[in-house]
Amino acid sequence: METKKSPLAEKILKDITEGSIRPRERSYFIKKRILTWMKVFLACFLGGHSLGILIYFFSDFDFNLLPLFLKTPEKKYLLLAIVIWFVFFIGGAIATYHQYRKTNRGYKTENLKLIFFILIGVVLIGNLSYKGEFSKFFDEKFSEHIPYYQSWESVKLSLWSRPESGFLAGRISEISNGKVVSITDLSGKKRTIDSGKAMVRNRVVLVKGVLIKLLGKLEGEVFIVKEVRPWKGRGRCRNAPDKEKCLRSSHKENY
Amino acid sequence: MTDEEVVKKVLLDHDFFICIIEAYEFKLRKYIYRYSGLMNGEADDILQDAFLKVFRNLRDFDFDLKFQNWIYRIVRNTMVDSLRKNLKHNKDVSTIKVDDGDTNIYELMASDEDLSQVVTDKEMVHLVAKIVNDLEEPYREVAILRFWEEKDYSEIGDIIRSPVGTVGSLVSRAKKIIIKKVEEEERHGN
Repeated sequence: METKKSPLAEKILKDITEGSIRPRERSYFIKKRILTWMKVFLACFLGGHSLGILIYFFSDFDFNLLPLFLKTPEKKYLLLAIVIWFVFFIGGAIATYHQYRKTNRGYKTENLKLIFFILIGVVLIGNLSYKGEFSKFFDEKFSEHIPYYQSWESVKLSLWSRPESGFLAGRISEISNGKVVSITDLSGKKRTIDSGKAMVRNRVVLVKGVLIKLLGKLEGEVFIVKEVRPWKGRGRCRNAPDKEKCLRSSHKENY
Repeated sequence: MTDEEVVKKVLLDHDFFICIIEAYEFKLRKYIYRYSGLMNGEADDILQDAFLKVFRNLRDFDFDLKFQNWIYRIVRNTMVDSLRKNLKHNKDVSTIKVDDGDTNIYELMASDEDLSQVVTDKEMVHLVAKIVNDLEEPYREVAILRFWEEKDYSEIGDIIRSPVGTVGSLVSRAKKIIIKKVEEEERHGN
């Protein structure tokens, strides 16, 4: 093409020729796009799983015991864990937003629509993570690898192993006339229980071997129970024809 | 031949890149000048850098977009990076140059539902240009793209990588500021 070129055009063409500059291969851009999308999904998963762990904490937390819980040494560990996961949840959602915007057409989606879809995605992953017990898995993995981080399960076990403070948990080892008379606590010690005047939460299924939480007062060797709560779950096995079978299948932790 | 067809040709024969340079050099030089006030050597450096980026990334061009908007985006990003590096945003009042060739700016503003109330004659365009030049980013940028580069909202969105709704809000806000400032100027003038 022998046309009169502008000085700039000549300079650019010279740069291209002398520098052997070539258009980048298509595969380079495909890899780049895949990497960006991977970052979007990774950030969304981080946010979702963090939310799953928060759901795991809060669904299992006895909120009406909060004032008592705040007096225990475990509070700082749990509060630290909640802060960490909340930061990851929000951070994951924000990172998803920014990474999505970096995708080829990511800038075209309107803000509100994008925020809505990210929230839906994060909440969905959070729920799946919680229901599929990934939340519990991650919580435990974190406690193994992060100093000062304690898993919710270990905090819970420690919290409910304080009969002197009024918190006791264990498996029902004996029932008499529909009342729990003894349990094997979390350390394996057999404990005598007086649950004659105890309020039993609707969700509790009183079957031998079931893990329960007890609130009350230790008097000598006997734990006087004020309230009986399930270790976990919403008590859907309470009215099942075969309570034991139902518990085994739905709440393995309880049985 | 459309730009998109030229792009396909360049990928087969790199010599065709001259067609892209020649089609856009003048337009983009003007855009750089309007946006940054940079001229000659400095503007050439940005343009050269941007054209080389365009050439290297030709296979990344999305044929569903307008090539024009894609090249504007690359120039805009190169310019912003360069200004950031040099920290010399030349905010001279003459940055937005209204010359004889820009008569359609008046028509564009006069036909705009909001701006038509303040841009009543060609002389007002100069005042508006001065006001636009003093606007904060990103209002200044969208105003330049809307009235000087004559881009619609969707095109501006493609250039600055923003949703159309956001561009609409920015342009609308920019217009409100312009109208307010023109009215203030007129009051002071009177």
